[in-house]
Amino acid sequence: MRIPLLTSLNQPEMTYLNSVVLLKTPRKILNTLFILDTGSPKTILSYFDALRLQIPFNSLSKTEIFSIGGRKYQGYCFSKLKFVFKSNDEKLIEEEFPVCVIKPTSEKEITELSGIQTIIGMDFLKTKKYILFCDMDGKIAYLEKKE
Amino acid sequence: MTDLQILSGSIADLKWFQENSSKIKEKYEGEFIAIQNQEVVEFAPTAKILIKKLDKKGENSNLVLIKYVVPKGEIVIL
Repeated sequence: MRIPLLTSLNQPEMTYLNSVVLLKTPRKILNTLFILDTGSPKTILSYFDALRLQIPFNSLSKTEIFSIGGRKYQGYCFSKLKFVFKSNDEKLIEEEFPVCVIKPTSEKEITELSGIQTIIGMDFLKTKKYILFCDMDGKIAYLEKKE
Repeated sequence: MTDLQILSGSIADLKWFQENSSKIKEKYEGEFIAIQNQEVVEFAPTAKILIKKLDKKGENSNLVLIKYVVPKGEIVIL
């Protein structure tokens, strides 16, 4: 089963590998966008998505410091997140995976982070055994689970 | 609405955004927009204000696709 990724080659400024995912915690569900970022070793739940999921930062354990856009942010680990994707054959693919959440400390940082989407990083692909296929010329990209 | 229906609708909404990004940018650049059924149903200068507006309209804001419209000539890199 494949998880199609959207590419938008007609607009060079929007050439990302992205799509939509449902994020589920034991209490909340969220319909949101994600970017597959081969430059990110970690999967990061955006601050805005964490707020919408009402994730309690106070009860999370600290992880690494993350450097984004020249600023440094404290990371926190949230382990009870389920990703629900739509496959190319109209089925649901569910994956539980621990994520890092970054927490801004000022209004300026909140503004800067609010435009950043949730990132699926290389740890997700490695742990969950996904292969990334990407043909930019053919305008096709997808994730496929390794059998 | 089932999970599959939510995802199918939002994937269609994201495709619509990508195909119509030039027109959308002219009207909403620098804003956060809420997209439903291939139309912009609400917008605001910040994500927090947009959520408040959606809640006020009685929408379940967690199920609406929200996107930041990057201004023309600007590229977001991570």
